[in-house]
Amino acid sequence: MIQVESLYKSYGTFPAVKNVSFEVPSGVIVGLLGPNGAGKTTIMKALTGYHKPTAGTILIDGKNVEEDPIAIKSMTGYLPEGVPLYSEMTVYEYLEFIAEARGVIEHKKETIENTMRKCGLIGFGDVLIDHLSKGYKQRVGLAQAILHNPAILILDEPTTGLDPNQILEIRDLIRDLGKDKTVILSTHILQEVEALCSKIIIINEGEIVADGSPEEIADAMKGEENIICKIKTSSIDKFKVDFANYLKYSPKKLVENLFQSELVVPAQSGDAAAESIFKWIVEHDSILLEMRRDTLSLEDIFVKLTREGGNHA
Amino acid sequence: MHKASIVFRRELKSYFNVPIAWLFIVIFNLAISIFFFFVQQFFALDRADLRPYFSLLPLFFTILVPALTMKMWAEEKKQGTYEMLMTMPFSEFDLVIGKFLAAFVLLLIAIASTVFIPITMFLFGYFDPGQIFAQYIGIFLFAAACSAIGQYVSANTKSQISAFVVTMILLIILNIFSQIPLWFNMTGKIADVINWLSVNYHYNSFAKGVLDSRDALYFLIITTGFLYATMQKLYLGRWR
Repeated sequence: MIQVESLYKSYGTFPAVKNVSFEVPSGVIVGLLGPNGAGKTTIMKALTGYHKPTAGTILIDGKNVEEDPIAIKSMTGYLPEGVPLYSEMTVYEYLEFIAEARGVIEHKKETIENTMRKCGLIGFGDVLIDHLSKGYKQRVGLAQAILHNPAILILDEPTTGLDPNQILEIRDLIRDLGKDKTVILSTHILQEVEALCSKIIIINEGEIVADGSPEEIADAMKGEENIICKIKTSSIDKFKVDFANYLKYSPKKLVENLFQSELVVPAQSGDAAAESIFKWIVEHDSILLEMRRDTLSLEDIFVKLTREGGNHA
Repeated sequence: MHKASIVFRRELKSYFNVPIAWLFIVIFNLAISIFFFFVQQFFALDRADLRPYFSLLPLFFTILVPALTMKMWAEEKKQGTYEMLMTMPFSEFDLVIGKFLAAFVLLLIAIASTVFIPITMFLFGYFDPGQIFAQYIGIFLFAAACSAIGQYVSANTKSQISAFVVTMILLIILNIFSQIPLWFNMTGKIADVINWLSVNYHYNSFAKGVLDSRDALYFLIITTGFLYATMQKLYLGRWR
């Protein structure tokens, strides 16, 4: 359980995080989402104890990060942005150093080997980190974060700079780790959050603009719902007038081209609207090519919250 | 202290992996040999005295130690491993002492690698073991002070080159302090203070074979002072 209360952090006079409060229950994968420079990394650095908050408190399993940093550090695994590693060491040497630093003394060898297996690093023990590809460096970065089996994993943009295959592999690994750990990951890639997270915290300009499950956020954001119809008809102008007269709906938007037209109909009356529209179109010699309910995608929500909300940026 | 030893072992391993340590030892040996046997013309002196050897060491440390200590923190900051290190269960003490000991031990290894010079000396005559003991204590203390100063400078920058240059300038200044009273014909209290500040002033008494606790105290103050300042620097960095 992570509890962040009124976290405030400024660099000099620049406030990077302003009055941020949230809770993360144990055993879930949480996505910290926000544009570059929104304050994601700052929040993560405060969670790991690397940066002291200017104000506010962070409790991890009831322990205050500022008061008991060494205890917090042994409960958390952290993968900083850009995966910094000691490139002059071999994979095994490096993981051995981490194991010792983390106090993994009993079964050190087995622990390192298990972690290497989990991260797909078997056979790479003697390779210099400098000689590894980006994807494998990322694996070493994850391996060092999970080596001491921490209850909490903090991953700062874990898939940045990887190719699509590597991204899928790392995501699988994170999903697997999320089964028995609390994972906080930051990203500005929306698909990542959709693919992994059961809770999302959207941050913009140092403030939380949305917090909840993806569905909750979409629900809160959706406002009025629309039905979008693509139709094929001989005269779209006549169709529009008839449509408005008969159904008492005035189509909001009309995208028109030679072969098809797109109507956006407000649908306050729920499912009944879709049904009557469908019947009406069929009865009036027009062809319905497509009909769908317009729900906000995470991308729409993201843009709405981080652009409209902070348009002074 | 156990945690510090983990940092120490990693650092020392890194020195030999890079392989800056080997380079350091080879250059150190070459430079010392050239100066000692050719420039100072040891054989022509026809004197079994280790003072020329021990008076050379500080000069080489002034030039070579900055090359060793420049990466200590500057590289960690540049690579980003600094953040990783600071989020592991190490205290500032573990990190600073571990790194300090690694550089210090490497300097001891470098000094030990030039042991052939004193050994050559033994072929020429009798030595006072007490004097040699004092001379070695002196150079060990000097090495410790250099590593501490170098580490402090490195903790204050991201650039290895700046760390190198600044450390070297600091060491040169500490070395030439004792010359200032001579240049300006100073006497009395001011000259005493300036002399006291100078590394040379204290090191020279060791080089002469004099073991004086006041001189040892000077080096201990410099070493612990800079180590403490480095710890503070890291600690305060968390509030940035």
